[in-house]
Amino acid sequence: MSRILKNRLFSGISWISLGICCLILVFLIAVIAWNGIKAINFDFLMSESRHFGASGGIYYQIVGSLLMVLVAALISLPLALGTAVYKSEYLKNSKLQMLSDSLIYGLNGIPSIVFGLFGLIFFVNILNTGISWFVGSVILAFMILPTIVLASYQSINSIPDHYRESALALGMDKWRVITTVLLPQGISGAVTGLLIGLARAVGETAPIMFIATAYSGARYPDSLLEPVAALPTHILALAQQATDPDALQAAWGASFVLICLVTLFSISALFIRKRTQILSER
Amino acid sequence: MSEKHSTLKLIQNGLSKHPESVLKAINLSVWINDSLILNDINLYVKRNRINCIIGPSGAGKSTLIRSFNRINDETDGLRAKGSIRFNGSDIYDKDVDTSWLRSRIGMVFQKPAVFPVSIKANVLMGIRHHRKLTRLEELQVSEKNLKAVSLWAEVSHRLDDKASSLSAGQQQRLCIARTLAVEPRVILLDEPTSALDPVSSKSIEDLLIRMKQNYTILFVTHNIPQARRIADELIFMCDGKIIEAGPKKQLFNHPRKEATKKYLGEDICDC
Ligand SMILES: Nc1ncnc2c1ncn2[C@@H]1O[C@H](COP(=O)(O)OP(=O)(O)OP(=O)(O)O)[C@@H](O)[C@H]1O
Ligand SMILES: [Mg+2]
Repeated sequence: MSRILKNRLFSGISWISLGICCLILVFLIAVIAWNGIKAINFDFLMSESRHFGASGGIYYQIVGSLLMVLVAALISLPLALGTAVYKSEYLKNSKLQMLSDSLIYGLNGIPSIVFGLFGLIFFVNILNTGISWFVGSVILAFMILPTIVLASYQSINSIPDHYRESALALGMDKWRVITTVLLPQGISGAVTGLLIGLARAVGETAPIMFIATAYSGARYPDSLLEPVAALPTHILALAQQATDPDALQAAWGASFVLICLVTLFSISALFIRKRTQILSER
Repeated sequence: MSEKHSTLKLIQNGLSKHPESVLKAINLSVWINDSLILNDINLYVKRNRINCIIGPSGAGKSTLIRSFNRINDETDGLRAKGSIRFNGSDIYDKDVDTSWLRSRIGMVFQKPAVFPVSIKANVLMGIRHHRKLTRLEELQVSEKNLKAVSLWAEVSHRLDDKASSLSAGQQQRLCIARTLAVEPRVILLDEPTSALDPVSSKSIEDLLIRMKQNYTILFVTHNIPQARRIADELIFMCDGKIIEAGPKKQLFNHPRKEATKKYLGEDICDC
């Protein structure tokens, strides 16, 4: 085969692969949007669900999902930043570096249902918390921790050493260098990682279905130890009554809202990543 | 460490024990990961002079200059023996506060590293860590030090702009200004002009010549013409050792060592 032909073949194959990927994504989103948008109206978004979701709206599901992921964000962000700073600035021993890397990647590889089971056994059974949205937040925070740690670690670690040395040479203490030079840079990475993590967390069913959500009747929680309603578990419940056309319609609508949330988080992540690459670029 | 022995060494190196030296290295040896990088260095840095370390790449110039403000402490696997005296006391003593030390002995690096904040905030970055400033003092400190590096005229109308908007030469002068703001006695510069164009380099050379009235300067370069232009004292290093040190004229005109003559004359080092 001539070289030109080979080249054409390979670029052709990669084009086709790209095309297939895009098509699948576009197809999925189109189907959900097409079916979902019919269900969406002000009432659907702003009212409580009735008859196990077959009628009414998904207001408390949206509230519950957002509450859980936002609190998960508050828990995981400082933890992740601390871990990333320690890993990048203090952990010099290469064996420990490797160990921490494998632990972080390991945590990232744990199937989400295992997080759910862990929450059920550790919090609900052993600590006896009952079904609690806050436990859900904690579990989601653990789940997205590796993503945030890795993103912030990368952005802190990519800061060239002469920035650290210049700051130290001015007589700044190490903690001061970290807070004034490294963290401002690390935070953009952390927020990018956080949004990617949240995009994943908001759509997860398995980690929260046993420990944090109620299928009906939950409104605003009065305490940390109450269940909430959530979008993914609601969709699961609706899908189980798919023979009822009303329930199916509500499932499409809820899925569409969920996809919008995921997209919102992902696009913000992309945007922040684009905007802040100040130090590492030079 | 026996003082007598090291003084003898210094005389052999062509330096007399000068009362005017603020900073001296005595029998300093440095290893990185067990390979010997600096081999028994004895060096007197003379007050209010431009002390210029020259030598080929890999000679250990950076390692030496980085020992004087202990920024080397950050390097993994580095081990030092011997002592460095600043105004008579050993900077490697246990109770020395490196933050204080670095406020007395400032350092400027090869690549200007301006922080992603305003020009003014860059000037104030170091001093702010050492003491609280009022608004008025902030302006005074900025103006004084930007004037000292001849940057004031160029940036006075845009102090709040991002420092990264400056040219590389301006950024390097800004780095010098923020070092001066901390009010050090000694300034270490490691090839501060090697990343700059000739015009910017010249303005930094002029700046250093002006600065030596108020500061002691220890300067690293491997640019021999530059050393000829601005140095007062020359320290010629090769392979981790000081081959010869003394006043510039002496080294250029009557070097004691063949290696010095060859390096300064032909830029060839065969030590
Ligand atoms: N962090 C480090 N780890 C291992 N070896 C190092 C390290 N820093 C310096 N060295 C070694 O120490 C020796 C001296 O390096 P140094 O940077 O002091 O030389 P230099 O005279 O400044 O050279 P140049 O003119 O290229 O800047 C070199 O052989 C270098 O490989
Ligand atoms: Mg060097």
